[in-house]
Parts: sequence; C-alpha cells; structure tokens
Amino acid sequence: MAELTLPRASQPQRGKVHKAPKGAKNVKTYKVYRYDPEVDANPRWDVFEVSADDHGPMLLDALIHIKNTIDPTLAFRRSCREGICGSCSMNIDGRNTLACTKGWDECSSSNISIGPLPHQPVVKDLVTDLTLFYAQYDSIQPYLQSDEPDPTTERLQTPADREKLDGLYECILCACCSTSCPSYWWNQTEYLGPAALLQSYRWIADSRDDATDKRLDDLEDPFKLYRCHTIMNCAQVCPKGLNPAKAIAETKKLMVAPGRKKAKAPA
Amino acid sequence: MSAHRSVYRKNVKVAERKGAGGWLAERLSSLVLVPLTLWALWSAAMIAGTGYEGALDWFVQPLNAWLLAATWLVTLWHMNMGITVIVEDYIHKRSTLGLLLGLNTLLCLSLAVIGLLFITRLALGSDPLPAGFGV
Repeated sequence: MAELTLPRASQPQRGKVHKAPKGAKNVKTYKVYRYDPEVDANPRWDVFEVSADDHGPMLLDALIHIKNTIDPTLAFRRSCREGICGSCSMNIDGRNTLACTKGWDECSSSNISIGPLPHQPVVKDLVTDLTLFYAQYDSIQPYLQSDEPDPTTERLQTPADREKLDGLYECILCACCSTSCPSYWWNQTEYLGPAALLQSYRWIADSRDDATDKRLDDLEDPFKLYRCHTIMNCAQVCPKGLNPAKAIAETKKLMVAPGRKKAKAPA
Repeated sequence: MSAHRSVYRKNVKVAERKGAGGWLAERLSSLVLVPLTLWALWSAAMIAGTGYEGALDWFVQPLNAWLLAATWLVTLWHMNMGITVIVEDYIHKRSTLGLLLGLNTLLCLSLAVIGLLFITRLALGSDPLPAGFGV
C-alpha cells in the first residue's frame, strides 16, 4: 500500500528554537527540517528567527546566514546562486523550488517552512540522495545519437527545428518536478518521473538525433512512461517554467503515431 | 507496481515494450462513451414514468438494445482499465495486488454477463421476472 502516513522513525519532532535577538526588526521565522541519520532517531523541525535586514533577498541568503551565524551544522546543497545549477532545490513553503531564486518576501507568510525534496532518502538535513534520479536520467541516454558520419563542422538544423527544443533544453535537473509528482512518490522505482521523461523528449524532438524509434521503444512501458496521470505538479513547481507534462504527452502521442517503427521483442 | 516481476538494468526498469495500446484504448473508449452515455441518459429520461410496458417498447427496438449493450460493455471495459491503474498505483504488496486485479476483472465480467442477460430478456419482450427471481 502506498504510504499515506510517515513511518514512525520518519515523523519529525519539535526541535530547537533559536530566538531573534531583542530589538530585531523585520523578523522572519524559518522552520527548518533537521535530520542526521547517524545521530538522530527522528527528524525534527528547528525554528530560526532571523531579521531579514541581516541577509540578502533570497531564501538561500537566509539559509547561508543561518549557517554562518546561528547553526554551522545545518546541511544544504548550493552552488551557483542564480538558478542554473539546480543544487539548492528543496521544499519551501510547501512547494519544491530553488532556494536561490525564491525570495523570502514571496512566501505566503513570515512563518516559512523549509524541508528536503519530498519522498527521497535524506542524507542530512536538506540534502537528499538523488542516486535513483540520476540513474533514471542516465537510462534515457541523454546524448545525440546520429547515423550520419561525424561531420567536420557543426550539425546544422533549421531555426524551426531548433525551436522545437525550446522549453526542453533549459532543464537543469534540479528534481523539483519529479519529487513533487505523486505518481513518482508511489512508484519511483518503476516510473521514470517527469524530469527524465522531459529530458528524453528533448532528444526525441531533436532533428539531428536518429534514435527516435529506439528511444520510444525504451520508454514504452505501463510504468516507465504511462504512470504519468497528468497531475501537472511538475509544471506547477518547475523553477525554470518548463512543462514536463506536455513533453510526456507529446511522447505518448508519438508512441501511437502512424510512422513509428516498433521493435519486436524486448531488448 | 507491475503485477509481474520487473527486469532492472542499473536500478532502472527495462521497458516491457507495451502500454501504448492500453493508453489508446483508454482514450478511445472514453471518446466513444461521451455520445453513448448522453444517449443512454436521454433515453432513461424518456422511459422514466412509462412503466414496464413503456420500457419494453423501447427495448424491443433492436437499435436501442444493441446501443445499450455497447454502452454497457464499453463502460465496463473503461472501468476495468481505470481500476487496474488505480490498484497498480497504490498497492505494492504483490499478493494483494494480484488478488485485487483478479477481483476487478471478475467484477467487470460478472456485471457484463448480468447486464447483457437483462438487456437480451427485455429486447425479446420477456415478462418481468417474478419477485425474488422465482427462486
């Protein structure tokens, strides 16, 4: 049965409360998920009261400020701080997004919850284990496969063909979409998830790629592809404004398109 | 969770190379059901209040009986596919999964047989079954 409640050992407890200094202005309250599997029996919610005047405008600024000045044991991933590396994806205020592009003033209240990406094993605090997510990306063979001999110059395509990749190539593999998808929550060992499927369609839609039929064969499965039930959480949360559900729908249409050459037996 | 054991390569499922047909069947059956369901509802409203004789007059017209049988079968087929997906989504214990999928098919087949039986009886202008089905 799908786990509709958290296992006992995963249920977060009340954690420490770090009060703001007296007289602090513009105070925001951050409820941050804390868990170190080597030490803690259960996760906990630590509360940090921070003056927004002390740090920059983004949630990542707040987290860095907390780590620098209040609790250096807080663990989270971050790198580019401009929404291109996808490292600081986490669940902020109930939605998966990038901490570096989400302003604290965009949150629904001054009481902001920050947790790890849902339904992934927690390595520590806000850091999740994305091994399976990357294995799924690897499985779709995310590189150009052409029957043409290697050219001496670039492989050209028409502007119209190039436009077909818009809305696909921008994916930064932050995993916000896949880990917001209920279908992925329940069946992630068999369903590829929106990110891997969008990336797969990025190559299927590429006029320079000749492996379309093989790519479709490798996706045709009641679970790998067809567990997408058009819930649309992926498109709702994508911090790059992409629409994985549409890419999946296009893939499903190509699956039954008249010209498709389907392989006979499973590989 | 698939009803049978999946094959994995580097922790990712190897495609079964099927599923497109099922996807198409879900869409086609739902498309066909739009006019059929509207027609069935409209017919039910027309028959309402006309009594057993009125209903019999409607059923003995072959087009009505055939269309109603088609509506019933496509509805059950669509329902069977839908329940299968829901069960596969949420039930991960293999024995429970197999049992529920079997019960789903049994339920839909039983309803199909029972429905067709009554449609046939009425289409042939049969008398009402006695109370308690004469048992």
